[in-house]
Amino acid sequence: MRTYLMGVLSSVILVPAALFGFLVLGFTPIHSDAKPSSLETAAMRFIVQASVRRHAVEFPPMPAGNEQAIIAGGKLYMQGCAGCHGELGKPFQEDRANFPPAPQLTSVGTQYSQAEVAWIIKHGIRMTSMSAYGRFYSADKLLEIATFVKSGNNLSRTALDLIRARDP
Amino acid sequence: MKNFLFGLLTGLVILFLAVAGYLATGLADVRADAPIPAWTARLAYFAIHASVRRSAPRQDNPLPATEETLVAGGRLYLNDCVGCHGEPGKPPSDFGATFYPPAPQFPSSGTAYDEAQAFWVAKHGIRRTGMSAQEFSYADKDLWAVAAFIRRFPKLSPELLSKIHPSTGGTNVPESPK
Repeated sequence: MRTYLMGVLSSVILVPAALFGFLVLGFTPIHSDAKPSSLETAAMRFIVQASVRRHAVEFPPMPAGNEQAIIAGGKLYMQGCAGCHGELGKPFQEDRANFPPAPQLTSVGTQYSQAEVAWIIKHGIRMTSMSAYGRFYSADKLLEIATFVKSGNNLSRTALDLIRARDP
Repeated sequence: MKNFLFGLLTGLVILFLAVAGYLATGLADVRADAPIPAWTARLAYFAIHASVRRSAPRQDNPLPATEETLVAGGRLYLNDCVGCHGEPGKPPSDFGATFYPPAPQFPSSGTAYDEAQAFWVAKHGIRRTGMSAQEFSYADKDLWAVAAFIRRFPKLSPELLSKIHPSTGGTNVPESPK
């Protein structure tokens, strides 16, 4: 029994110690111009999703957006998000510069709900290139962008034209 | 001995289940708008510095440290880096502070990296931060010029700084990158 417990203790100490050594000695790969492995991608997606589901409760669940909110959100998206998350109406282009890559929302959409998207824009995702925009956008604007993102890969021609049109 | 190995295995399983359970139930906070705990920041920055030292080339800047190089690097910095890393003579970047970890503010705090390391970071980016790889936007020569410029913060002379500003005077810090 005693040797068994010694064994348990050893791995509980040795594994974190090995990890610590790996980090401190500079073995962590850090260059962001690489692609995360599919295992890492899947694990990260799962972990982030679990956390967002648990924490994103401040915005009420909303019905699918109305046309007006989509267009207002689309204009904001073009100014503030398209640089990393994909231009409107352009073909899919993989983000090679960020690690993890920024999801190309206009091509692949999102698995998050509208309220969750608004929450993510407000608070950002740590240890990614997604910064927190809460201090730059009001709650209404966050929701407009989220409304747009939820429908951004499935827009009518007229909606696209209205988003691209310059304000008078 | 056999018991010890069984114990070792049990320990591994316990560790795995604890970490996986913590992550899978969403207890890990992913919000970027929270301060980084001091010990996490210290460990993370130490690990990043150690990795950069290991990966970056050990060489001098191939460009001469002339005013021309610094002005070219400074213009590029003003064009594409200030949004997150701060503009000389201005308060720290609001936008840079919204990343987790936050973007270092070179004008006030300079950098601990040498020029080859700064070049390497600019070219390849830093994983799991907001720092993206610039090799897709800039040639090596441009990034070496930027490295020479950044390395000289926070002691750049006002004369040099006035030369990199466009004649219109001042630039607008963008609300979002690019």
